[in-house]
Amino acid sequence: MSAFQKVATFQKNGQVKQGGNVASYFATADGLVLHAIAGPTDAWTFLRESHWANETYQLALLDNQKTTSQLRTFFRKAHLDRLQKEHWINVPAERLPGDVAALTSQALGRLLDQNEHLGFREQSKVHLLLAVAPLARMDQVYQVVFEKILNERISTEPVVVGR
Amino acid sequence: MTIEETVRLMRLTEPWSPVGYQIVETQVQVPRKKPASAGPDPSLQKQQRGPSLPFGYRVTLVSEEPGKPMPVRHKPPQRPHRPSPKRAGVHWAPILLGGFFLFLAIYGAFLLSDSPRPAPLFQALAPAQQQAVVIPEEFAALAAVAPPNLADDQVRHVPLWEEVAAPKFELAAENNAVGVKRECEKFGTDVEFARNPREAGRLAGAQDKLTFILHVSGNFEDAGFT
Repeated sequence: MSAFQKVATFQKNGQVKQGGNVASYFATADGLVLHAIAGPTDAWTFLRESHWANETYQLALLDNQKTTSQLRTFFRKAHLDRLQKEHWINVPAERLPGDVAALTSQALGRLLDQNEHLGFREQSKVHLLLAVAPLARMDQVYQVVFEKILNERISTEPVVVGR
Repeated sequence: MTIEETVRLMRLTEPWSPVGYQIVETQVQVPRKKPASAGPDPSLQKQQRGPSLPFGYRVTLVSEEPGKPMPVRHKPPQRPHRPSPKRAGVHWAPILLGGFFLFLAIYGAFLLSDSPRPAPLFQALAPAQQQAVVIPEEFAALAAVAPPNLADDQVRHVPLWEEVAAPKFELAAENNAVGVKRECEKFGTDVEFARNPREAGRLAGAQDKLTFILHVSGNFEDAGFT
């Protein structure tokens, strides 16, 4: 099932739109984020990422990983594997936090700030974020994704229409 | 057309023919019936021979220069048969067409496959990317085994959306009637969107599905403000 939500705004001058972005999340029915795509993407990439999220989840269920903690361990390993193989990034797994629920969005934001010098791409940052905080709640990650990865400000303001 | 003109034309059209032609006129005498009483009279015999009528023309081959043997012209050598350029190009068309469809089949199989794209070149050649990620110190405090959390260790079958203080949404009775379309819209896409993420979570939980949540800048339901 799908849903959308407005989390930011942009400016519109005539027919020209300035600013704005989009983030996609693949989550469980209870709102735990399995995977995310930061920014707009083409259909081929979107299909590939959605397949990966669903197939990884089905593989976890096949492996009898049914509790939240088991699913977190499974998805942490999956994100670390993609970071290593596709983005050539090593993450010290032994230093990753065990209590994901206790992580705040500010702490996750500092994680990305302290690794800004490595020059990661947007999707690399997503994998890093979800490797540190697998199956985090939507409210833990959506601000970090929009502000730290997409450099957009979370806003409740309506779309600004210029004259 | 006189006989000379005809021979000249033949000479032009058949270059390998002998050089010259000699036209000899022949005559054929038509015999007449002998009278019964006529004796051997030369003039009468001449009269009896009748007039000489030209029957035809005999053309013999002679050389233009008397005394010299008649030159014989040979047929010019025939050019070897060469296929026309148009015929030579036709053979390449099926080969190029087959190669094009083969390329489409291979490229289409690659696009449809789920195999991940190879890592970008600049990352593959940059060993600097292999450096370890910095983990904040505050995470180190959380690196220990997580405290036992009964909720996390239970088999997940209860949607946590209900644990959040959110009003339960029940479809009105009239919307549950057979034939009434449930409240999902596509907004110009092929995807059915629930009214909000909570509703999507509730419907997904009922069908044992995952959810897809889209966070956008602007109003997704209005194309002009998306």
